[in-house]
Amino acid sequence: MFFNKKRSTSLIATSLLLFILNSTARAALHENAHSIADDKAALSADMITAQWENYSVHTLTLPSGTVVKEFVSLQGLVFAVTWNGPFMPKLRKLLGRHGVDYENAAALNVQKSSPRGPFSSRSSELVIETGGHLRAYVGRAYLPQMLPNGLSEEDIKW
Amino acid sequence: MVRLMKLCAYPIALAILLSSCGGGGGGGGGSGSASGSDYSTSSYVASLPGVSGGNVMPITVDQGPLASTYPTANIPYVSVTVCPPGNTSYCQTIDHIIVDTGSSGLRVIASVLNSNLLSALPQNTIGGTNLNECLDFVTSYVWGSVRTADVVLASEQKISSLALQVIGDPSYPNIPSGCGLGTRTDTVATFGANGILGVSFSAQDCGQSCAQNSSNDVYYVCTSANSCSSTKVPIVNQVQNPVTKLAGDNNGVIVQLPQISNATGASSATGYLILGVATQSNNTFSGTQYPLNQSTGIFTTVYVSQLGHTATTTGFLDSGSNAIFFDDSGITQCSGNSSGYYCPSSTLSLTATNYANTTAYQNSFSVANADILFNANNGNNAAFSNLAGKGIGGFDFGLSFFYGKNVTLVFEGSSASGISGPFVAY
Repeated sequence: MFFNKKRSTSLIATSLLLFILNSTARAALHENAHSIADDKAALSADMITAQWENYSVHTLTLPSGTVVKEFVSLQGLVFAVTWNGPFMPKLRKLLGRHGVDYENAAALNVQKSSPRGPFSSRSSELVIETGGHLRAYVGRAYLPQMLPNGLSEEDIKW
Repeated sequence: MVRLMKLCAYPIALAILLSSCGGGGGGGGGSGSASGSDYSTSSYVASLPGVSGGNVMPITVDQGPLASTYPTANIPYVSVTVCPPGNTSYCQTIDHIIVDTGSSGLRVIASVLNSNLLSALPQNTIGGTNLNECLDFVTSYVWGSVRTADVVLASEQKISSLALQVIGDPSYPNIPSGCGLGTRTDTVATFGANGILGVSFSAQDCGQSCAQNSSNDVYYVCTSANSCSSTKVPIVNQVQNPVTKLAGDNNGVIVQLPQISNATGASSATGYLILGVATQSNNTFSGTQYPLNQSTGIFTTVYVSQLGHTATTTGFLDSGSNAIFFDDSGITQCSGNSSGYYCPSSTLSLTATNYANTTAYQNSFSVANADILFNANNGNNAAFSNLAGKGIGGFDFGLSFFYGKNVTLVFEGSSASGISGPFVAY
């Protein structure tokens, strides 16, 4: 399900560059990745960037231990974010303009009496999935129409 | 059907309370094993034989504190008594508190507390500044003050000076910018309960992370209602798993719930939350023991989907999740009011493989059509052993999985019968 998905062959063939940036930044979904550099937020997160052929992945380890990944297109658009760790990240910041979409969808979830369960919401523009429990949260949010060539939805892993 | 149910007629004064509920147990039991196979319209109640002891808290699964307007499904409730520290004035017994093996700490919705009690619960401070908390429950979050109270769980189980959270504290109506996203659940209607009793494997709700990092966005010190900043909190000052603070019977809990023998559920189910593991004659444990990851409280689960895809993922038992949540794109999902749950055309009998270290054990469960379950008995059923939904990030064995089992949970840093926690056994 989450740990054994096959990466597409085009990605395997792509050379991988790793470098570490002294950045504390985070950008939001559907925003320009320049905000990663602009947003020297209060979090003293370590960040590792992996550059693939058609996109890059910025992996931030927050002080809480939670790992946030931001997927950025060659055009500089943050098209996906994921999280995995003991605490939820600042979703309000991470989801940016789509935070309100999430809140609206989650409110419907509460009316069905499972406000503390996992949740997923899918539209043609936005997919949000979140789950886990205390000290083990995971989730991802992405723009399915904005995925670069060679990257499938299954490749967006936390 | 039973809706707003008081499990035990606790009087206000603590001294009287300690004698009035006698053996403590038996509130929901006594009728023997569940039986009956009536469908659709008849009401059916599932119960267990009585269990007695001062460490026993009766559990009721019903449609919640606002059943007629905001009915809940598959949520186990107990009653808890809250008193000002060192004072038996203004004690209040609060029903419809969720038993949650997926979080830690006692949290009560402010609006259910009598004003005298609320004002008699001192707010905790860090460096002399008032302490508040923002806690995520996946898609929802709660915000409110951290205060100190004396708390009575079962009849003989009093905790002095417990740090708890008052959700929706009227003194702090505004959330800080870093707090939560999703649904703010600070009312009985949105929370689906009057409070929550978190008895997960972890001794605190946050632990080292909040003790070491000031930017945890869990704990906040507030100089005023509109001026809060994230703060470090020493572990001893964090909101504690209340059971770990008991004088005895503090190494874990056992959740006992009856089988639901009606395929479309029961209007209510009654069982027990037993405090302590292998500390009394009424809390011996049995079954397969599954060690839990020390930091995350999970074990390994392998599941083969209806489409034949094998997934190795994380598994956990969470009584605060109201269904078994897992990912299987081969099972039809519900739409409309039941979306998020599964709606197969006929009930599926499935298996997941859970690992106790490296040894595999088959765990069977059923997935029924949630639309049918929610509409059975004129929509009045509350307890379902076959309610499941789409899950994210692992295999969440929610309350559906607990029926017909004695689920034992031993906490981190504790042991039972010489076996170190954290582990679950069932």
